[in-house]
Amino acid sequence: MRKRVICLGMSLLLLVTSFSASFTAFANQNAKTDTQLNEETQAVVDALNSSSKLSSYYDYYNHHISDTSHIGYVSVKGTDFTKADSSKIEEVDGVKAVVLDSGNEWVEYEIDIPEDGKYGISIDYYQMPHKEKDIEITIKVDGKIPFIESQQMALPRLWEDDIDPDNVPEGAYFECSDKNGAADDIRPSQREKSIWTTRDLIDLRGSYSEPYQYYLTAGKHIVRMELEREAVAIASISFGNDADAISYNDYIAQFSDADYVKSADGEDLTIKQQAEETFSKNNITLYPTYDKSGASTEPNDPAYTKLNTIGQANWSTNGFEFVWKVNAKKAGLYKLSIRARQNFNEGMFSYRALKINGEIPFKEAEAIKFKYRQGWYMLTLGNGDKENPKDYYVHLNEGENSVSLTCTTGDMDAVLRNIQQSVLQLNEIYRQIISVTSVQPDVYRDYTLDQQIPTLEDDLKAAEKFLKETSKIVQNITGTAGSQASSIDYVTKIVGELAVDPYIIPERLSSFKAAIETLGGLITTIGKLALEIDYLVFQPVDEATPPVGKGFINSLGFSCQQFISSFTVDYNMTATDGATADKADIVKVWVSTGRDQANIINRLIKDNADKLVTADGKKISIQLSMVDTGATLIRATLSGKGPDCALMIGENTPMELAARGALLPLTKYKAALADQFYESAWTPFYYQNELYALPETQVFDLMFYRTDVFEEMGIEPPKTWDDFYYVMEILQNSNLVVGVPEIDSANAGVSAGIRTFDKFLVQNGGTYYNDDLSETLFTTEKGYSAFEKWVELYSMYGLDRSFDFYSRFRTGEMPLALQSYTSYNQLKTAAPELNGLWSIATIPGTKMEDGTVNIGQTSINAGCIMLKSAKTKNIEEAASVFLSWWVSADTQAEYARELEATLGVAARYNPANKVAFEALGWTADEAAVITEQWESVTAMPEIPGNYLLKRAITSAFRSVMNGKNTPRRALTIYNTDINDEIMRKRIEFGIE
Amino acid sequence: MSKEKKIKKRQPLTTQTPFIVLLAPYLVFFFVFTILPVLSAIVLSFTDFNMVTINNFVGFDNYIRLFLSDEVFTIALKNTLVYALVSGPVGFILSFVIAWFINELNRAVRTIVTFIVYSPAVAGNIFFIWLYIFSSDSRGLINDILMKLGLISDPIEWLSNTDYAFGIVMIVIIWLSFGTGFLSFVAGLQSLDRAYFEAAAIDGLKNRWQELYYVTFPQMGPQLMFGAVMSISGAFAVGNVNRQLTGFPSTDYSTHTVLLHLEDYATTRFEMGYASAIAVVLFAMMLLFYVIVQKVLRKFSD
Repeated sequence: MRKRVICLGMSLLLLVTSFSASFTAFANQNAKTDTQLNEETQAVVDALNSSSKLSSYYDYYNHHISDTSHIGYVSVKGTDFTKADSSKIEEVDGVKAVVLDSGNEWVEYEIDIPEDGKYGISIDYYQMPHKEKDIEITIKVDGKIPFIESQQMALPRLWEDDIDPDNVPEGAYFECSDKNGAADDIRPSQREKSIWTTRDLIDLRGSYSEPYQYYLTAGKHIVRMELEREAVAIASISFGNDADAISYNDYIAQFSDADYVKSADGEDLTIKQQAEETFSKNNITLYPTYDKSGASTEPNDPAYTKLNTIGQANWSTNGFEFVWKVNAKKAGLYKLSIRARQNFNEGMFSYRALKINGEIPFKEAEAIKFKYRQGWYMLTLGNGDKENPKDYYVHLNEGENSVSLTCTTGDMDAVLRNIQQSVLQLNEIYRQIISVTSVQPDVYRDYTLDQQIPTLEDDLKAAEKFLKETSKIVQNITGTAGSQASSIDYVTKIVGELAVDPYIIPERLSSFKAAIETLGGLITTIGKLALEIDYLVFQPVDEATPPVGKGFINSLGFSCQQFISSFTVDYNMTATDGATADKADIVKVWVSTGRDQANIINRLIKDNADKLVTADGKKISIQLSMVDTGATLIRATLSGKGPDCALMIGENTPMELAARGALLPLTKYKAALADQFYESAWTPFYYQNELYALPETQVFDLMFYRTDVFEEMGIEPPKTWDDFYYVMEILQNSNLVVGVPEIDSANAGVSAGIRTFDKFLVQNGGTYYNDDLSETLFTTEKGYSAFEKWVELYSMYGLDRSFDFYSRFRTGEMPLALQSYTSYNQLKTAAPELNGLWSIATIPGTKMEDGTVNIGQTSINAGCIMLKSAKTKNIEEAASVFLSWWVSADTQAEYARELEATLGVAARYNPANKVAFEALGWTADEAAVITEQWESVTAMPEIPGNYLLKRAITSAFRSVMNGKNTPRRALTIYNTDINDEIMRKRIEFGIE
Repeated sequence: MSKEKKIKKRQPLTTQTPFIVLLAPYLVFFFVFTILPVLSAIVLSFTDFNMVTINNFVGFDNYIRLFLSDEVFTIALKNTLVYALVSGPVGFILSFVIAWFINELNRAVRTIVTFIVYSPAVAGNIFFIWLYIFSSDSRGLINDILMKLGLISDPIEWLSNTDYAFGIVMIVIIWLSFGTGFLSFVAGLQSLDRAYFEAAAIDGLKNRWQELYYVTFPQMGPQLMFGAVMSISGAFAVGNVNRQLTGFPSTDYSTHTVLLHLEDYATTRFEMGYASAIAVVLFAMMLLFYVIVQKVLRKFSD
């Protein structure tokens, strides 16, 4: 990972140095002839090659743009390797294959290439059991990695719905907690579908709709495949490309009149395939979804949620695919209609490739366009011509056919790669500008930008031209000047104005930055081609397409039923498991999360019924309710309507409740779990030497930095605060800024902590309270010095006190920042153009006397609690079994996995359980950084009255910043308030 | 008005029975959801109720602590009084003046202007716009303008600096104060009897101010009263705006109000007994001001 990042950074650096030449070359590619283009790009690529650094596929692609693609395949068997690194040959599912199952194992093959040209790679593989993530491999040709992307070739795992046929109600497809179907469908978990499958190596971002093309000369080549992640068995590898699919006219000409399926009396030849009943899918997030918006989606129920559609926002990444098995009574040509809804991408099309029995039948099916519309519509495969419509028929065999729809970017791929390139280029220009003007330029000053950055005008003009061309492509595709095209035009206009008159740049800098952000946002919207489908229907060619809706009267009736049932159905209760249990011993659990999370927990409870038993073998019944457990929890407890257990409780609540005697101590359950957690996970949950919560999550800060900027400036991510100040100085010389959150405003919780102050304090060996937790220790030398260092960051080093980390990090004007490690998720999902350009590291530390660096900090924790009512109801044992099960490694890992599967990487869970953490999708390097930081985390105990701590420290800080106090004086004064409150609370709770 | 009341009182209970029966559903709700909580708050204010354990009677301890040893309450009380005394009357007078101006406009324009002036109150959380205007980020509206003009070089933390926070909240509260009171003024001015104006004009009215004082005010007694009650209760219940703008609690409690103090004790410290005592004090303050305003307004309308 590290090596990769550096390589990437270096290559970007090179790109930057040869910026003007290369940029002009790429920008003008459409205007120039291929030879001209080649000469110019050749220079760049040669420069790249000469320094043996990796180029991106963008450069590689452009360099080889005029080379021919080889049609037909050269295959080599997986077992026929010439060299290998301890790879095993095994028979997997009846096929002899080579198995790669531990990190960096590799195999080498010798292949004989018939002619010079571009070759796609297609691999016949089998997913071996491992951590359930997609398999990643590196492809090297003759010992070299041809382009950066070749290091992360993904081979997706296949999945299917995990359905237990015994629990499925009559006539339904999905499980339901009620045998008659009178309840919400339970979203099935996804289980691996282990079958042999063949897949081309493609770009998941969708910038290239064809597979990655490797340029190979005629003759023998050594191709090495190295495993990066997971485990895989390989049966064969093929090099080459499919011939272009035939046109529909050629396709249909193959069939005679007898092949057209016509409706026949007494025989229903129509095949309706509910889209949610899939055979397989190639991503774990492609689970069944539901549409409750109207009566027409099948199947439906006014009161309950029925899983009746598939796709939605998760089905938006290039290559994501559903496979259905449809049974045809008669072989022949059918008319295909799809009931679909595309209300995700306004003004744009979502493209899908249709395959019948593994092959795209004709060219027109390579990218079927689903247009944007708010409601559902029927799309009948055809020429799409309004005046002269013609349906396209597809041929099905008698018996089982496999039908698949694959997400593809179609002809939008060129737009995507242009925009990605533009964003990188404009960000580079932006950074060059602010290195002269700073981010907050003086508009009345002439910075002589044209002299300071001689290439500026040309760069801007080239960028403008490039954008103009991109906009034209978009308009050609969408046919209208939709919102995407107008966003590009808006950016083009701003860039153009700057190019004409560089003197206005200081004044327009913020709008220039906003424009780049707009463009960056487009990558996510254009590259995400979401679609939702209800069913596919194959009909005899002479039948009319079924209507899209059920008509007004039915819809009205359905809506009325929906409204009426909203009074009777308890939507907050996800399910009551245990129809056999009598009411008294049900463990009532409250959870304050979204519905998806609650559903996952519910499913976990159901799946683990065998683990949820008391010592005498009695099954535990659990009732899960979604309640926002803030003040409600206390009020409900007071009125006797509270739960027995509550999950996802902030770190100060257990202490607050325990001090009032509302909780049961959980100390005796710690021993069995202790080795799965760091000690810091438990600390906040102690009150008077008893433990009152079991840890669920733990969050702390990491250092985020832009590898490209760091490479460019020749600096290393800082390890200590001294390094940090040094790096900060270098960055500030170029008018770049560093982000350190002043006060953790995102976590406004009472004791969320004053995160930066904490870091200095903890690293000094300081702590909040004295040993008997009766007083703070801020007015010690350690406290004063930590407070002073904290204040100095803003008063002396002039850091911004509030900033928008995400957008500033994205443009690169803030290439270094300390942020909660959950920011990783946001960057990963919402800033795809930055992939590979940033990295995480441990926070700066303080050098200790023995030479080690203390990178300590505090964490924010959450946990689960057991309330007094569990004792009065005599279900303490059952509740404790549940809680211990819930925080255990297996459950937390499964929850995390399911959560990520349901909501994507953006929802990556941050378990306090360190064993569960290992099962998450972090790469080894990322996990190592997080673990190293985690080990140094301490947590502060929670004590009554500590809500005043954050307030007082904040006020002390602000009074210094507002020039009202000196740091020491402020801390001393406000510290008195904290201690007074602590004392008062100690008396109230009878501790003193 | 007072005469009518006396007559009603003398009626025997039997003739009032239908009224009582008709009012009963409302009275029950009113008792359960308004009278009872007020009474229980008064009772709780003499205990150390903390929402979970059984409460003990502590006499006047809560009140003694509130007035004698709680410094933050003193700040909150001061802030609340300043907010109430400035924004209450200013909001009240502004509401009336603007309603009076609007009344001169023709019907269509009047509707539009009424809508515009009233919309902040309807739109609820629209005051979030002020968060952008006074954002402490260098891209915040005012910071941006001031920096572009070269008046400041570093962004000002408007909402966390005690020098500015209080004033900003005051502006926003006044901006929001065109509420129901304003609407009742607009409606009240519509329903005035034109005959009085004519008669007054014949009697020798010199100018519009005299008209306002001698003709308009006396006729608008009920609306003025209503507007006053609304603006008092609004002014004393200030808290949400402060919380959203300056955080909870604000720096050095600079925009802390009695209501926020109450919430602080009730929701973060769970000292319900003490919080009840604060509530009782707040209630008493509102009652007192209501009586004063009533006295003042009666002078106009009689």
